[in-house]
Amino acid sequence: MGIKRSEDSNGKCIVIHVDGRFDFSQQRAFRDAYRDMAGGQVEYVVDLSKASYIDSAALGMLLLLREHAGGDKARVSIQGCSADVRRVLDIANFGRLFNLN
Amino acid sequence: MFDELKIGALRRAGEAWGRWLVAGLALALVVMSLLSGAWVQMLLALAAGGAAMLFWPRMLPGSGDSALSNEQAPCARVLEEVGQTIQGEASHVEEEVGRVTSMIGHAVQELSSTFTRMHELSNHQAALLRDSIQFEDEGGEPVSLSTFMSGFASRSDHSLQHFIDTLVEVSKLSVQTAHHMDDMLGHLDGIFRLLEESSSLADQTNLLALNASIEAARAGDAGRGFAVVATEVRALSQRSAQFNEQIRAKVNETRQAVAKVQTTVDQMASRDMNETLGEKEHIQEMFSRAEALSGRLQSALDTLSDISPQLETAVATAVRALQFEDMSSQSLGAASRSLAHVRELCGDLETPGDTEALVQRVRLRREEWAQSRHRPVSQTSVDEGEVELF
Repeated sequence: MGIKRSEDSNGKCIVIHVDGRFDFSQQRAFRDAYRDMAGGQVEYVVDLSKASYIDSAALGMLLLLREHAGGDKARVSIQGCSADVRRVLDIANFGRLFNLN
Repeated sequence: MFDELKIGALRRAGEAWGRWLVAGLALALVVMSLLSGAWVQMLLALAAGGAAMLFWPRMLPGSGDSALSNEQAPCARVLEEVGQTIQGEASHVEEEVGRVTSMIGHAVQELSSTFTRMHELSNHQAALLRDSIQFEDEGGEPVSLSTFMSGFASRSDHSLQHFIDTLVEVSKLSVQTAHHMDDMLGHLDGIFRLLEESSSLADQTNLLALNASIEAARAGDAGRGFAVVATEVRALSQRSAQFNEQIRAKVNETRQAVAKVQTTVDQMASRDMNETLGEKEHIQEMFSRAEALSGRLQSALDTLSDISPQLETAVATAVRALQFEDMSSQSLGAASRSLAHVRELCGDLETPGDTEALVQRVRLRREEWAQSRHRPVSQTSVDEGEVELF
């Protein structure tokens, strides 16, 4: 349960792993996972393969990550979504903002 | 000898005339029956005509081998009887013809008004259909029902997406607020650390003042003034400690208030998207059903509007077909005239007179009637010609 961060050797790409429920209770940990990185220099990957549930607060957090990463120039991808999680991302039309794998 | 031959010739002429007269009457009856559709009468008349042609000589009393020796009187009586009978039948047939004419007239009038009403109703129906399938888009341009429905569906989809976007945006701002609150809590923690620093300073000052008081007491009278200062310093440090404590309490209240705001922001940010998802899917399903329905409705309306002109054509054809009344009344009129001729002829037969004069009169009448007779109906089929409705 919770948020973990991993990064590649040269620090150009960080992966944020979300485990369990991705909701408001994770907001602090989720921000802590990226706030010390210089925004637009890095490529971000959010791994939701272990996320069992996401709500609108999680969508808000993903949008804040995108803003931190440079808004329209951001390189943020979301990977490993389950069918339920994917449906929520689709209804919010996140395919036009994020690279959904 | 010569006289006898003359009488025989006259008699044969009389026989032939009667025979052709009856055959002619029978033929007229056949024609009339054909026109009025009375098949039984037609067959009877045909049979009577045939019988007259075949058996005429034997039907006349005294005709045959001994014809030359018979008198003219019984022949005249037979002619009179036949004439009266035909007169009676002819007037009966005339009545029937009149009745048929009037029946056809009434029926045609009924049919004509019914078809006219049908035509009006069909026009009304077509107009209603045209009005009901007329839809307009936002610019007032006419569009089909299915286009209207899909426009409506896409507009609703757009509105729903806007709602979802707003929801997510509110969540984002709430989370952002929570982040700011977290930052604020961090600052409050900093204030706490500073307060602890300040509190330990006050404690040390207090301790120093206590030591100073002890040293002043040991100095005796010389230290009395110093003891007063030390007491004052101690009082100040205690006030500072109290002040610290008050600030700590206030900051604590602020932390609690921030925690409450965090809870509210949590509620603001957190929306179960599955409900929204369910709603969206529900609305989409409803719209796809409505679109399917409107498609079916549109095709039914199209079919109906195709039917309208067909119905109109059918009614026009039916009204045109009603022209048969004109033709049949002309035919029946001709039949009535022929019957009148037959009755005139019967009148001639009943008038006593000499045979030669009778033969002459009949021949004259025949020629006159043949000249006056024209084809009763110039048109033989109702399919010909066009009828303009209304």
